[in-house]
Amino acid sequence: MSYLLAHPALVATDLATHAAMVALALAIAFAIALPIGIAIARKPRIANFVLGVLGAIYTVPSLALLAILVQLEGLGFFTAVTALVLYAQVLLVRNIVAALRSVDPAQLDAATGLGMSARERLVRVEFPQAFPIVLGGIRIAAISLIAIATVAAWVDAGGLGVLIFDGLHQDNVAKTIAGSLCVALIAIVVDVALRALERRVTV
Amino acid sequence: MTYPGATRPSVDGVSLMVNAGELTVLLGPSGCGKSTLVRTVNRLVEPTAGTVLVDGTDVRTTDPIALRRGIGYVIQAIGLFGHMTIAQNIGIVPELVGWERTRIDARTDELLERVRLDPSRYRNRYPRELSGGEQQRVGVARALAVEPRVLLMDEPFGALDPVVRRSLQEEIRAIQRDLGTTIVFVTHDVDEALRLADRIVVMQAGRIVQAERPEQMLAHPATPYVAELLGTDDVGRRLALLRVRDLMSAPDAAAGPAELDAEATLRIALGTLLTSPGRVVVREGTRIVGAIDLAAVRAALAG
Repeated sequence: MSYLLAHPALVATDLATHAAMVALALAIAFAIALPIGIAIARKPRIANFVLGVLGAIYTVPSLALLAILVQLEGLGFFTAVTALVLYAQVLLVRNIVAALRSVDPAQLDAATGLGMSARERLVRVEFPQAFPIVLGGIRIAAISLIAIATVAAWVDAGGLGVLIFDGLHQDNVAKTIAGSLCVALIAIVVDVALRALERRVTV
Repeated sequence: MTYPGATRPSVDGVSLMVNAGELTVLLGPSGCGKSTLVRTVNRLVEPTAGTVLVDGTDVRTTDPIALRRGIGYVIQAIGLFGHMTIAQNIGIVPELVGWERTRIDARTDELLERVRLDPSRYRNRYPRELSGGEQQRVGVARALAVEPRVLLMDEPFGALDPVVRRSLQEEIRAIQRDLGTTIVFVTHDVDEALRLADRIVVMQAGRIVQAERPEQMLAHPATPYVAELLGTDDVGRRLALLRVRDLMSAPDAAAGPAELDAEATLRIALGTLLTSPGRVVVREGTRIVGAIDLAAVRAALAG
């Protein structure tokens, strides 16, 4: 707490970088996950395969994944973002698939029987009903990425990990605690905010 | 029609002509292929062999989306869209085909009245706030939205309690009478089939066993299976299909004092006929239109 109060500007910069990194990664990850989820939701065998691959990526330790990505992209912010995008995939795709599959089959039959094209059915029936569950997936992915993003400090990407690891190296417990507190804080804020949004959109 | 991986066709060797403006009931046990057959009409099922014609046009040559928008579709599970209001549900097909907002709103209210739901009370409610019977009324309204000439109903009232079912059956008969819609109605309920059908098509193991007017089928079942399914030895069923009007003769001065309404079914009239020694006066409102006696009933059942 003392470090936080003594260096508010420093902490704020790291916090802003951290939030930006997570937000950007989440946006890119969702843009990739959505079409994948739509494509595989009604194809169980392909879905199992894709989710298996994405799950395998998720099990790669973050330091190992970053080490590989540094070989490809070098150090920096965008290398960290790439890692976060990869980690988020399994969480987002799995939720999008589950959300689309949760739509009442009778409504799908009625939609098709009334003459909706596949696209109209997706936009008018499946998305609106799947949205709350998809939002739940985004929340879980956001919280995971907020935690994982601390490791980004290893590849010179900035963020709250800088405070934590510097604190460890410099034997400065206050600094490490300040970083950890901030990570916990934004995770809680994001969780509460997205939960509230989920409740509002649930039909 | 054979499903992938199936060892025998679900529907096989079927040739059926559905008359325009009639209510045709496909009757048979679960798994007899009646639902599969009805779903070939709007191409929810594509036959592996054979042809389905609507108005003389092979449905395979019609765009499935356009085809389905022109054919009403009502299912047992109802399938109202849970995130849409009742009005939005009913207005969905008009919206898809590009009607003006004001026209859709007017049509929605008209249809709600048609299925006896007060528009001002129901318009803005959500499906989950309605009972099963009310939901299926909306289901019927939604299917009728763009005035389809053909309406497919797949066990539409199967999940409803008997009282609600009766009332919806009467609604469907009235709609069919007023609009002249061609209706193909799937059910496994014999009484429902007898009550609704202009023509009953009995199916068994993917094949049509008999297609006939209800009273004819009851009088002359083609096979023992049809006889057993319809319970043709149940005289009450046959009497329920006959009306006093159908069997009465010219007014008879000697008839009376007992009276019957011309529209009463024989099932209702039988008690009066059994307890009256002579001929019974038939009235239509206050007017005497004929006379009837037990001999006429005996003759009708024998024929």
